[in-house]
Amino acid sequence: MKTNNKIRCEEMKKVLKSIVIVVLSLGWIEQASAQATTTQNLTFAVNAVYKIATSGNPGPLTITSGTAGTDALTSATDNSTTYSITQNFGNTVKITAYLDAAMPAGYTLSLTLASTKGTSIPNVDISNALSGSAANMVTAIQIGADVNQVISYTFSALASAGTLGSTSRTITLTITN
Amino acid sequence: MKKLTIILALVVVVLFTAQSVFAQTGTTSQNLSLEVKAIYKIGVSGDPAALIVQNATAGSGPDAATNATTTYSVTHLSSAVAKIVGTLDSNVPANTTLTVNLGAPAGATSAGALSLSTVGVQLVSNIANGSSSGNTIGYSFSATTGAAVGTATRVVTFTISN
Repeated sequence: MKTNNKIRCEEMKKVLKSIVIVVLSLGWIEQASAQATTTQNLTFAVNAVYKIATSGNPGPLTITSGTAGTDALTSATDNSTTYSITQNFGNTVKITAYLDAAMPAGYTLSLTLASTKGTSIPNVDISNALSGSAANMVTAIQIGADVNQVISYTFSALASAGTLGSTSRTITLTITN
Repeated sequence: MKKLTIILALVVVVLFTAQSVFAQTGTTSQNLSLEVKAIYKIGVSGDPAALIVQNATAGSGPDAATNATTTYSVTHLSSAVAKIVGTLDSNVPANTTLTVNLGAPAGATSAGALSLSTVGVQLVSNIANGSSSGNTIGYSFSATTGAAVGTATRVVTFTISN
């Protein structure tokens, strides 16, 4: 009996002494890759842009002379200011002009806007051009920018209209389609 | 009585045997195979707002629309430095340009503002191992006056690799 027990004891020892080898393969396989990507959705737009600006105000237009025997006095002119535009709408864009108040009878204010992008209409009488009746100054303006184009004012008067004290007007230039 | 004595003796033997077995100092071992593979992760904080060209200075081209409200994060672990490449799903319309400027993680190098197209362009290089978040994504969308008026969408894909 003792012999049998001894044998069983030895077998149990063998079992308990046997080495259990567990090989664990620990890897962040789901995280491993040769590269990774991410995306962003972009929305972008180009809206219609109409921009016009002037370089400043012209000097006073003062009529001081005339020709003897002629009712039309010598005009006063000013070419000292410029305008610039930028538009991306199309090739049918135009520039109009109007005054905040009409000129008195016998006095005429004419305007010319130079242009390299459109068709300039020279010496447009804007004396009675008001917001509801703006005068076309440049038409068929091509897409793009036109910078530092000369603004030419001519102020004319008839002697028969009499003198005119210092008067101011605001002229509005509009770029539109 | 004799049988009882034998049984008791066996019990004692068994108990003694068991005690002697557990009283031994046992050892065992495990072999572990550990591995960390190359990791490349990149994510963005979201989509930017629409980039709209709608203003200009008279006499000059339209002003560019910009957006720098979104960010990206990266986690990188490999045996080499990594880079980020940006691509578009399709090119932007004629007479427009879309650039992106990715802020670089510490120690990395940003290429600055570069135009995006369907051809990948390297935006950040020399990204070392580690993680970085909150890196700025700066977009600029510009158009000449020759660009068509309208709206479009594009998908920008940023890829980190070595």
